[in-house]
Amino acid sequence: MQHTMKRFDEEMVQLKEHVLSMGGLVERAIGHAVQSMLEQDEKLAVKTIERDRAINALEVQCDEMTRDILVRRQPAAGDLRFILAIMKVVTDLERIGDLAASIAKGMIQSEESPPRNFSNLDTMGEKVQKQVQRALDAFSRGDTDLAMLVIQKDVKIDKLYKRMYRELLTYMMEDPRSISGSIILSDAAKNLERISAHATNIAEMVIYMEYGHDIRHVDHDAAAKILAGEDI
Amino acid sequence: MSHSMEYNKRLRRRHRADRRFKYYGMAAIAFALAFLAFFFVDIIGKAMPAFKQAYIQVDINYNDQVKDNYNRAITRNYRYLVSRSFLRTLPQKLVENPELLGTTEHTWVLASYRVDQYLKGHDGNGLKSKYRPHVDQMIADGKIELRFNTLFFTHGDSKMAETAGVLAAAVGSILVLLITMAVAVPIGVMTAIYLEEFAPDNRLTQALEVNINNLAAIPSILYGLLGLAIFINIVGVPRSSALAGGLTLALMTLPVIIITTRAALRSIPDSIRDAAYGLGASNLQTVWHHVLPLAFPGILTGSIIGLAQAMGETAPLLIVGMMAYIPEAPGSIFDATTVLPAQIYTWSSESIRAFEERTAAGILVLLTVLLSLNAVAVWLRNRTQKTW
Amino acid sequence: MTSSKNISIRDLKLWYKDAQALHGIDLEIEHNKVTAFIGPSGCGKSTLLRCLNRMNDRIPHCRTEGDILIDDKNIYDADIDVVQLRSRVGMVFQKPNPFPKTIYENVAYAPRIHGITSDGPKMDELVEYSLTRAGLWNEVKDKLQEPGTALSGGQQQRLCIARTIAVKPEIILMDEPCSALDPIATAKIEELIDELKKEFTIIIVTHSMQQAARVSDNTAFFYLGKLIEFGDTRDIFTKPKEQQTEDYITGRFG
Repeated sequence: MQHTMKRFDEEMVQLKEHVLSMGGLVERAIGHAVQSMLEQDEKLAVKTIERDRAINALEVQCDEMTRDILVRRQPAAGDLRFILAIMKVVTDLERIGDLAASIAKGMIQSEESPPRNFSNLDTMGEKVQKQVQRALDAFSRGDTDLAMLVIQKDVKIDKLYKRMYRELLTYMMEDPRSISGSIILSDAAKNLERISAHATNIAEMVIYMEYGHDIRHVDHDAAAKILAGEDI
Repeated sequence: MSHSMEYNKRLRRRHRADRRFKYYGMAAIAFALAFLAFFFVDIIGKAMPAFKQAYIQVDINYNDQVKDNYNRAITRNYRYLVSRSFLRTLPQKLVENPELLGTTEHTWVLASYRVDQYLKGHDGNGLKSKYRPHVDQMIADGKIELRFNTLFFTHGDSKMAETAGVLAAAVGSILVLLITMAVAVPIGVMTAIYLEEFAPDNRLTQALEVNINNLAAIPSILYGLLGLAIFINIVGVPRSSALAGGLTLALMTLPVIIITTRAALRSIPDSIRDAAYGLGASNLQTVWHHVLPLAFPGILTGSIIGLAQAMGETAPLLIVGMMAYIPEAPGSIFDATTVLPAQIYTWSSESIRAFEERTAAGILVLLTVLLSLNAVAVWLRNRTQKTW
Repeated sequence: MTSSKNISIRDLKLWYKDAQALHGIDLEIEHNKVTAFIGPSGCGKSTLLRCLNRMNDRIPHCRTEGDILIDDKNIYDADIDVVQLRSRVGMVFQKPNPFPKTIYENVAYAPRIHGITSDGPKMDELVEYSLTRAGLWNEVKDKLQEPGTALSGGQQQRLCIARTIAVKPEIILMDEPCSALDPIATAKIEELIDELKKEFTIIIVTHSMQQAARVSDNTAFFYLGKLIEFGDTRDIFTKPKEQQTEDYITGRFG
């Protein structure tokens, strides 16, 4: 149902659109960062770093709109949870943007000694990007099932990162010349793992937004129980 | 902002209509004020002469014949000029003061109404033309003069215009009013309090309310018939007495007092009652401690206005026989009594010219009393009014 | 959960003539807590409030069914004296309504009619105590003999609260006590409510959801004479269970 105050609805829609377009930029930034690394494309890396500013600007804009709604509309219940979720989501997105930029910066550093083997970076990049995409879709549609999927898949990303880390470690031991390149690669993988964690945060906020339950810092079984209890 | 010509024209028309409406109102008030002014000028103009009365300087001979025929006390020329009311007192005076016998007293006495009217310029009103030169001479000699008319306030009615006064009627009015007040105010106020604060809202009380409102609109003469039937025929109250009149007027005033008291009670905001009930006050405590003190000014005003209305009432009193010739002020509430409006009516139907000015003076006295009562009502209301 | 000091409303129904205003309300109001009744106009919240000290008895053709238990005693029982009930369940109204008497008299009135305290030093003490509890003493101690109606709106309302607590009730009902007051005066009343809940059970009807959120521990939402939802105020305002509650407190009521 609509708010009696129509302007309130418009503001909420606008805010959501801003957050989603910020999400779009962030998704693209991850893709570009990983691509620049894989293809050793310095131009793309520089572009990705520059585009992070747009993400930051959007964050500031979203915060302003949030403040405005808090002051003028004094949201309650679902509206309040939506606004609280957005405040968190925006921070997460901004951090993801920063992490993507970090990957691009790593690419620029790696120019002197490019990694010879990119290990599973391409797969991991794809999967993490998919995580962010799912989290944003879940947020956009209020889809808690999708959000739960994101939370569950985060474990796999962790595993992927650990495997890749071990693999890179063997490379480094085999050939000390590959050390600098491998460290950069390992950093990129670490950043991707962090991005996935932020995507998980977003997914958790989606669940809070929809049900009012905070499932952060509880294990998956407990979270599932809370949600099941709510669904009945 | 700019508006179309059409809009501006409309605006001007609306302002003109506003002003026109204001002028209509002012004209209506001016019209009413003009009537009032005309009425007062006319009444006061007519009444003023009544407050002066002609006195004449004559010789009074206390001789033997006076006891049998008081006319003999004064020489023939003057006999006609002196008030007969005065002459009539002479035999009695002589009996009381035997030493006066044989003496002659040169003194000012009350002139007859004929001289009085002649002096006040009402020509050809009884004073025969053969006396006129004589009277003119006496006026020139200062032997006839107009003095302030104290008799008007100290005497009752009289067939002699020169001694007719309002005292009996005024005392009668006061007695009647006191009885009306003593009966109507307590009963009326208690009825109103019960109906407004205690009575359940049902068919019976609704019927009562409608009937009370209707009673206030009944022609007052019907109350006279009711009073006659109940008080005089059944209860046996003396006819023409202040008691009969007072009770009858009380009947008539009751609905007015009930209605005004209920209005006063209703004007007390419910928030005061809520406050008292909310603190656990009982019905009686709420009414007695909070509602009544606040409604008191309104009740008072309503009662006084009701009584003032009763005081000006004539018709019902006619029926209970208070339109009588009463020369003496009543000594008790059982004596025959008349009241001011009845007195005014009696005088107005007299043919003698001298009664006309007394009619006007009577009206003036009645008006003064009524206006004073209303002034007291306003004063009391302002003094006792509380804001909440 | 059910302690004797709570107020238990059991299947309460109320009719004005033929129009049913309350449809079977079941509610357990906790002792020494502030409970807010919210809901759109005409939802029955004020009506229910007025049932708790039987102020509805004054309204002709008003009929109730069901129980309201205070101290495990049904206040609609025949042997309950309304006058005594109202000394235990005080009430503060929407519009400040001090008596047009002195400030002192306003406070001393109820203790006097209930015979709690006789006039004299003891009454002076009680008046001072009540005014102090209502946070008004410092503002009026030098003008106790001035009319209560000369005070500002907020002060008048606190005088009404002082007048109510002078008889030391167990429960204080407040019917939109701040709707006629400015925000500062409102804040003072709200601070007072927070202070008073240590001693009294307070039930407040309010149209301001922010106010309900600020002052109450529990909130009950009514709609069309029915209790839609009752619970912890924090839950009601962040995650209401019922869609109607959600729609009302987010301003989606149509």
